[in-house]
Amino acid sequence: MRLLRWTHRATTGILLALATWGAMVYVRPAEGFLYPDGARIIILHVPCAWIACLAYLVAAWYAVRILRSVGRGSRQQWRRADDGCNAAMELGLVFSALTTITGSIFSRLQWGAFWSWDPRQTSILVIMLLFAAYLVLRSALTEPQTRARLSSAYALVAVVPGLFLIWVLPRIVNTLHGGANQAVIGGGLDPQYRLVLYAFALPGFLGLFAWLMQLRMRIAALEDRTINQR
Amino acid sequence: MSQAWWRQALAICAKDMRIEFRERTSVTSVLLFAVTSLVVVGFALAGLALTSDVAVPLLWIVLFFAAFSGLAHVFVEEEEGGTASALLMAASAEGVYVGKLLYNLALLGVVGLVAVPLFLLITGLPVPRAGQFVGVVVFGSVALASAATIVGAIVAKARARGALFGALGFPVVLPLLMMAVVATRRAVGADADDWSWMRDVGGLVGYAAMMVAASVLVFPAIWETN
Repeated sequence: MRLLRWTHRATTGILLALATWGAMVYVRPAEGFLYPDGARIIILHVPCAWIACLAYLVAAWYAVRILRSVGRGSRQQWRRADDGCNAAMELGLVFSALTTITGSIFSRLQWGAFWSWDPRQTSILVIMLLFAAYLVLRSALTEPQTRARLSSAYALVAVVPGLFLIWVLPRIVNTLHGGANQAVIGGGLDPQYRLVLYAFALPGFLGLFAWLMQLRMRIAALEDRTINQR
Repeated sequence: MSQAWWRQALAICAKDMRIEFRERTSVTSVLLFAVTSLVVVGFALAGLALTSDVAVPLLWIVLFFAAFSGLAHVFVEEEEGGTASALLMAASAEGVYVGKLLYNLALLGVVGLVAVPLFLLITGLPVPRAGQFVGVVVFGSVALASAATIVGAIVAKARARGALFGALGFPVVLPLLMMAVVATRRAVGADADDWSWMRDVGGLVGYAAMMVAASVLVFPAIWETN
């Protein structure tokens, strides 16, 4: 177990170092861009967007587990799931904020405006607001079981607008991100970019996300223990 | 619990309407809010030549804030009046949810009946395809009410409700508002009418249906908290 944990951390570190090297040194400046070197930010932008969406899925999965076990299962069960849901939402907020910032910088370089209400930009903004709204809702509730129930109910209701943003809205409004229905944005990327993105950056960010989740949940478990001891 | 859920829903809706008929608090406050904001809009835009592209979002902004100012009331009054526990014993969660949803639909319907004609009067917006316009506004409002009802149910259990309601509601309804604005623009736009509006209305109906389905699934967990 200990070995596994250290392998995970070491691999994450190596992958992220490789991704940094890839983004800064290995990939060529993209041709046909207004600022060819600006394209390097894609290697940070795309994994952040993926991790933000993954964080939402993880949080929704925990929310389902909370609603299935709260009031029925043991207290420990839904408390852990609630910690997990909260941790995923917090990390989601961080990664969606990073996605929005890197995206607007790229958008300014390439299309001349920081923000243009493109459906994909709107999606990441709405997802970021959902993460923030979830955390605000939690802060307005004090009793742990009520907090677990209401916040996970909100997390699941918010899946509906998420689905609409991904599948319905891009078909109604025009998008900058090439191909309204293109779920994977990397379609038109250079092979070098694709290599760095899929081989180093994405697995590296996945490892980072898993590690941060573990840390956040351990902190929550320690907080629970100190509260219970008092 | 012997009655069917839809009978319970109708009874709860009728109960809320009877209370409303006697007190007239939520209808008057929501209506006054909508009318006031429309007057502000009209006042701010007085004398400007308004294109439909600019006018249409204003209508949905007013409807959004009207819905998210008053539609939590049905749940808040049960919490504040201390009647939530009695209702919890008397009816199933499905019955309560559907009853409150029906009441909110009726409430937003009344607001729309006043606010939308007033909006058309103030902006002087021509509506070449009235049927399409009415369809989009009706189904957009239904979708708006379905989202406001479930978020209202959550907010009623929390502290600092007023500020929280809008903050929690906005990201949930933003895709709906974007669809509704695009669809309404098409309804008042000049481009030749085709069948694309069917897709718009389909999007609104789909949103409402999915929101109601998700609400029915999670509502018991919200309602059964004390």
